[in-house]
Amino acid sequence: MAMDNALMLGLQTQRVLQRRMDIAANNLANVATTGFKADGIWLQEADSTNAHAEEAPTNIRFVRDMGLVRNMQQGPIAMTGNPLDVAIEGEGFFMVQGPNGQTLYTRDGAFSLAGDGRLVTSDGYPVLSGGGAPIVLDPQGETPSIGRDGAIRVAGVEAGRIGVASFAAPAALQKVGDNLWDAEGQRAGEFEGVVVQGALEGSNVRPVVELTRLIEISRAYQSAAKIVSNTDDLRQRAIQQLGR
Amino acid sequence: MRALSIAASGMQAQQTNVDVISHNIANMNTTGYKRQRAEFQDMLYQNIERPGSTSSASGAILPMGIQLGVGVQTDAVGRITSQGSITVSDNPYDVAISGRGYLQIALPSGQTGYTRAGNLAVNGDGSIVTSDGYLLEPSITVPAEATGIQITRDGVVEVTMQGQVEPQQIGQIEIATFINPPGLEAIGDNLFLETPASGAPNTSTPGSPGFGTIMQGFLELSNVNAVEEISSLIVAQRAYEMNARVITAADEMLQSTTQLR
Repeated sequence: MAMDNALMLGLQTQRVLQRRMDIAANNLANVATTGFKADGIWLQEADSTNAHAEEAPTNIRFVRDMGLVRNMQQGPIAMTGNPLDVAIEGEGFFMVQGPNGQTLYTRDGAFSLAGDGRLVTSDGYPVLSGGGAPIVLDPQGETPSIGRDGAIRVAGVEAGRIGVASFAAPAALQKVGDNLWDAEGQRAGEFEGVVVQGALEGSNVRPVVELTRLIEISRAYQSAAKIVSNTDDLRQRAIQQLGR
Repeated sequence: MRALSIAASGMQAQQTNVDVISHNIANMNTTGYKRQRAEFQDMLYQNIERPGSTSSASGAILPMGIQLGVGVQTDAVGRITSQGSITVSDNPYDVAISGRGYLQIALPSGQTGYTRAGNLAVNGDGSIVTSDGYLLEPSITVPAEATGIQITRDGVVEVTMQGQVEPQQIGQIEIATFINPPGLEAIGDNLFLETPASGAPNTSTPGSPGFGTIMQGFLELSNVNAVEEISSLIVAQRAYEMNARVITAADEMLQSTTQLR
């Protein structure tokens, strides 16, 4: 019964397409999220045991979603006029102290000063210097200026330096939500980008690409559904004919 | 299918965005208004395949795994506290603060309110009050016989009395600064309250290091830029439409499934 293979192929394709759809939806939902990086899915043919091997072709290959392809391209940098907003031009992540004391990474540089003078993210997590210590500024001081190397100067005196970490494989970092990323054991290296004060990096989601993909997924899903329904028809007819 | 709820979160976020933008536009001509900005974050991720796990069929190690995001959330509506433009008003009781700081206002509740709106006036008792009638803090009373009032850049209030040549000091305007002014709580009527996020107020006379100066006869306008807001509005509208399109596509997909027998 070769029909089982067709059924399985159709269903597996639908399953993969649903995931692709979820990912496209998440990209589009985050079209306005600061520092967001778009996800894609990496599809591959996979050898598979046939659903029903008897008298069936042996070279059936299924499609499988093997992993994510993360688009790490630079998002657009927009000026905000807020002196504590910073964007990274080039590779790298701001270092942030997460809720359990671990170091997390972010491209979202919408920082502010906490009541005790610590530089924090919009969630209140301390921003870390290159050495891994929180950055504390004089709360009553003048508006700080932030250099292209991340050095913060208040009235001309260096008060700290925003730590920026680069990774050999930034796309392999795991997103943990709230615009934060986990290095998953990957070691941070030297930073080679530039920090821009008074600006934020937008999402790198390309709406046209995502919308085109959306249509493509939706059509492919419908044809996969057709395979399933045709296979079912075929089997029904076979049963009716043979049973006559 | 997650796509439906993900797109719904996107539409919700853009609605908040439009609300914030329309609030900014509505307050374009509000004295001392500071524009707001909605900030978004991605939501939690669900790990479908952990990186480093083996793919069942071939035994190959997955280099990256699959993470599915579940949408977007509004993380903060921040306030941009940049200086608004300053305009001449020719009213001697109007003051604008050039630089950091807020005027302190005694609220009827006993709390201290903070404001950048310096459209002040004199009430029946001669006290300097806001346009809502709340007393400036520390309070300053203008004598009835005064013929003119001068407010210096460092906040000294002087009046000229009838028949006298030398001006006479009747008070001193003090302003308050905060570590994190966007952390102040807006309570409407151009007023703000101190919060744990803003930090405690630091008061001093205008012109002290780190404090702004007082400009008599001027008012600070809002820092809303109409062109910027309208373009943000268009971007928000398009983002909303895209999320709506996702819902349509996901619905069509589900439909093709439910039509299977």
